[in-house]
Amino acid sequence: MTSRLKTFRPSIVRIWIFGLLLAAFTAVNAGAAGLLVADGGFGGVLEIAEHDVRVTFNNGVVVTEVTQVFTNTENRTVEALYTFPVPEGASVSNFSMWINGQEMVGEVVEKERAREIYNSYKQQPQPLDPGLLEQVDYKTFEMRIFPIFAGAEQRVQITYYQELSFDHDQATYVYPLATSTRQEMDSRTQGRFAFNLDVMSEIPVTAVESPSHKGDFVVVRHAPTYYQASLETQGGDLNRDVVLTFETERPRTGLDLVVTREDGEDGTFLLTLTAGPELEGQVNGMDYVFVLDVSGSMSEDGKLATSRSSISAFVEALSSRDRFEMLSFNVAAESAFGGLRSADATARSDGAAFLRSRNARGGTTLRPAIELAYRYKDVDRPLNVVILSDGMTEEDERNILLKMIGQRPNSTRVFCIGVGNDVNRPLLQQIADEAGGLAAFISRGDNFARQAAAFKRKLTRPVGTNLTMGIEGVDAYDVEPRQLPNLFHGAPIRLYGRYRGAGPAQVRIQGTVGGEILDQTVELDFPEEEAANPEIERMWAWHRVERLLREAEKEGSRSGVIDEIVRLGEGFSIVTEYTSFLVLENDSEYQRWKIERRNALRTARDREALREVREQLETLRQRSALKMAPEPAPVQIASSEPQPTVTTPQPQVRTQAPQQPRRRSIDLVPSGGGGGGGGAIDPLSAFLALLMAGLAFAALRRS
Amino acid sequence: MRLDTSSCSEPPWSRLPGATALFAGFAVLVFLIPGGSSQWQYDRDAIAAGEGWRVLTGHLTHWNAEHLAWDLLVFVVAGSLLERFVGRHGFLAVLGGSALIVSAAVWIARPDLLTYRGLSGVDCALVVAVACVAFRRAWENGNRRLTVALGVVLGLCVLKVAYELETGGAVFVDATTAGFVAVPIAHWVGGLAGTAGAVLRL
Repeated sequence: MTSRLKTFRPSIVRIWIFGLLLAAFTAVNAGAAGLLVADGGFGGVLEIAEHDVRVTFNNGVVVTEVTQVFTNTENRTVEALYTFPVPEGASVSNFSMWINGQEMVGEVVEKERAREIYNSYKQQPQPLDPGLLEQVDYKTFEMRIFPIFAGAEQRVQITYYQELSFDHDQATYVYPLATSTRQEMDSRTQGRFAFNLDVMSEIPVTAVESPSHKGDFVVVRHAPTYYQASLETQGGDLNRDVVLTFETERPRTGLDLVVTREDGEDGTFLLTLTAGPELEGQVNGMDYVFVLDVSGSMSEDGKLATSRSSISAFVEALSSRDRFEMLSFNVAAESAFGGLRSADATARSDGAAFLRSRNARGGTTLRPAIELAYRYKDVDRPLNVVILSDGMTEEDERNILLKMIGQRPNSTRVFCIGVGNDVNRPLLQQIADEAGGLAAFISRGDNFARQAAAFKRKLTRPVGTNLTMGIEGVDAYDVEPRQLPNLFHGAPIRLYGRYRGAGPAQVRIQGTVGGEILDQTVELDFPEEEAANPEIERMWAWHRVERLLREAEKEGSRSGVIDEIVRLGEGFSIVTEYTSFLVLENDSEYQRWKIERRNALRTARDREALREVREQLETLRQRSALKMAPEPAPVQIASSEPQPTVTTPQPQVRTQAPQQPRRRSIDLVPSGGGGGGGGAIDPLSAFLALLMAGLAFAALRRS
Repeated sequence: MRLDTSSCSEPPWSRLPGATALFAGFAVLVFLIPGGSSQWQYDRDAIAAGEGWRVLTGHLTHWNAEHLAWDLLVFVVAGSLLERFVGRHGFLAVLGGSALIVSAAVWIARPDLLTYRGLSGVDCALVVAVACVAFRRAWENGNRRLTVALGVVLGLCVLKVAYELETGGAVFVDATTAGFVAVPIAHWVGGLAGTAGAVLRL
């Protein structure tokens, strides 16, 4: 199969072949559950014996570590092929396999070369254990492992980083389990499924809950800044995404800096600009046109039901000053009312009836629906076009669609809500970006009312527009994104970049905030060394890759960016469409292929930073337990987990006490208040004061 | 009312406004030291966390050079006059008292303000204190012209501050380009503190 895949390079063909394999696999009723789906190569069956997910949320960046143990229940050796969808904005940062009881950390290699090396092992009479993790397209990763002997167990671990999507004072984390690739398959895990979450936030957390698994999770509050949640099942039903939400105290408008830097190297920074509640203004009524995708692909995985619930919740969140209309589309568009109606009870009821009458069938042609939506633009009211779709539109239509977005009427913004896990995220994101709007992604297990309320807040109007950020005092370069997007409530702007030099630097923010001009300079300290937050380095590289790909899409050719993407992928150990993770049996095999152990070093550094974070959490846990315990008692603790030997080069690890991540919050001061203030002596005041002083001087001298 | 009765036999430097110069120099120094302003500014959270000294030092910090220049100009002129004519102790009493009162007013009246910088509240106190002393002296000496002139200028100052309070911004100061929110209550309370200082202390 692999040689055929190599011949047919276009990924769509590979997905099609893979789909056939999955269909064949479904027929044998595989016992699969979890993020990774095994098809067992040519008909082999791999059961998931164990599925552990460990999530650490550290001030906005989430590290998800998925460990799975698979058992080959066939009586022959198989090549295993797993696939899993990538959560929104995730960057796969490590792939490890346990070979002869030892963990082997993968290395990122240019995709074609990785495939060649992998295949060369398969052709050997005495096959060694290679593993290959590839990105198939924007949303799917495939993992191949060979050989897995009859009855043998195979342990693998995947780690990915992602930014948590914040909705105002709430953040949502989704662990995708409900995927169309396995919708027909048995959704019950054969073994243990454990999900553990640590939440550490500088902004105090007020609640942690799971809308998708109410009652299944145990949530413990150790401190206002530290929560823990866990779920464990045996043979449980896992056909719903695991959705967790964190409520925090509302952040103020401000700028946060997170940095990481190894001694002697250039540093990486992340600046986060957040709009606080004090910038919310009174907004007059607006017009909304909801554009619902009812094409055939929306029938999968409950996407249409999710969309219906989302729109209903959204319409409920509208005020009586708002007007709305609903359109459905597949190959043609159809309207609910034929005009905008005030969001009263009758209109809501009629809208709900229209939604219920929609069935998913036919192809997807978004263009006529958007053309129709634009016609609802009233000259004196802003129009928001909200598209709910999986984005699976015809490939030929993409460029026309993007052109149409550019030609939208004045005061019109286009918002995209991706439904389900198998959405064409890049397209929906690009449409929203270019239309001054936002893209959001909703999972089946989510709380629609909450999502609708959060999205409504964003829709009212952008808080900040025409924003720029300049840094002086250190040499900041390769900043991503190059052009800052609009700032919305609940959607902080994140600016990644690299820097040379160290010390205090002036960050100047300019733009229009709440309709007023903002021009403010704040001072932030960029350190010479910072061991914490190594994850932002990879996030920076991932954003750069994403931007390069977007630009190449616009130009219609990727040839100019592939080398840079490979360089970034190999240099920062991230899987891209042009780089793959390759795991070889031992260090000498890596040497034989002249593959540097960059990721092994990086992973060791990441784990050290994560260990420090977890140590801090453990301290908090112990403090919390001490408060509850009647009196301390000596307890001998034995680890229940096997401790694998990791044959990786070990970086120099500092022995100092764990540090808090270097963060700095600066309050912005837009003209509406909420930040800093000051007494201002203007020229008139100065004139009056000096005149008074002169008179006083004369009076006092004469006396 | 007491006047400084320094005689010609005193050394010349004793008539120099040393305290004014010291505080003005400190304001410039804080502005020039990187990170100094953030370290010393009125910061609501930091004050709540125990850094109470910020209610005094916050007045010596500024958002930008223009802000510093205007505030300092008035501070040096009004401070020098007050220090010369009512003495160092009187000057320090007005300075310290107004700094505390202005910060307290900002704390109570503007809980939304997380940070505050600027000498202008204190400037208002110094100017009004000097004007009150001079007004009283002119009145006692029967100098009607100066009394009227001082009264008119004081009245104009009151009108200006009242206008600022009404509009919520400073005349001739574009808060958006200045990069901070003007706080008229600080001027109003500063003026009241200066009046009280003149009545009670002087």
